[in-house]
Amino acid sequence: MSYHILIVDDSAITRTLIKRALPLAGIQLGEIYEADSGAAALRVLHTTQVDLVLTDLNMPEMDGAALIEAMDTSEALRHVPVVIISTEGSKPRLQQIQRPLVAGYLRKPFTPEQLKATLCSITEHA
Amino acid sequence: MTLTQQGRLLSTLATVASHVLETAAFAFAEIATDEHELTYASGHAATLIMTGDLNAVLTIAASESLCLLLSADVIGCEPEDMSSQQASDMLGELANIIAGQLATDLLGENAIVHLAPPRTDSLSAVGWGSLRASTSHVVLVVGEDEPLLLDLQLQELLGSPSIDSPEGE
Repeated sequence: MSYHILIVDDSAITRTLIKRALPLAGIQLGEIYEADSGAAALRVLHTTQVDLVLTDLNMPEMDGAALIEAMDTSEALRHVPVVIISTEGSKPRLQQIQRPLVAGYLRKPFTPEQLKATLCSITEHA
Repeated sequence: MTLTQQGRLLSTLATVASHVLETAAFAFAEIATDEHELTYASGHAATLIMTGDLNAVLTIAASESLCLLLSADVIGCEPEDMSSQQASDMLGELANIIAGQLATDLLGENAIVHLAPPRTDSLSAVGWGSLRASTSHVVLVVGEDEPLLLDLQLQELLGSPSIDSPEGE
């Protein structure tokens, strides 16, 4: 299976970094989409088939927590797994955000090996 | 806050920033022994507001050349291939990562600290001088002679573990 992946982060350099690390993750890649906010991500998700979302939390306009909540309340999107890639280290905050569709968490700064381990654990269970 | 506490806070900030620079950008940094010897022409500053259990404003400043170098290191290309916009974006992301790590190191994993998206601006030599006049800053030397300034203006600590005794210690 090829995974169509949406990267959501307001930092263009971080989106580039993730995009460059994905080929090292050991999963078959389809299309890679990018969005710089939760609102932009929802626009992509409503018009495109995406198999996995990698999202930051701390973003302007619509943050990652609001994106996850919006996806969770959408019949069409609640099956799409989400991996949070963020600087957030607060357990209570992460518990607040936790939804069934949240499949993993990676704290910045991360290594390609950590990204690979996170994505492999998700794709193995898919 | 006493001078000892202030010194400890800046020392923690410097340690966190050095670790983040090494992990995120493969750059080695240490506290400047004589920051007056370091030259700065122009560059960027990133400011990030932290609210919640820790209320503070973190500012990070670095020269254009250092920002270009760090952004190139992060995505694995040459500094000449990077734009000024990417350099500025890199500094904002560094501020974000450092602030998140600092909150955890100071207050532990059970504290809640909200990070506003970082704001980035260009910074002249005059602006650099103003930041250096603050008593709440520390300067790191990155590589051989590139200065990176970190300033942490602490507003207040509300209902959180003491920064002198982080949770779990």
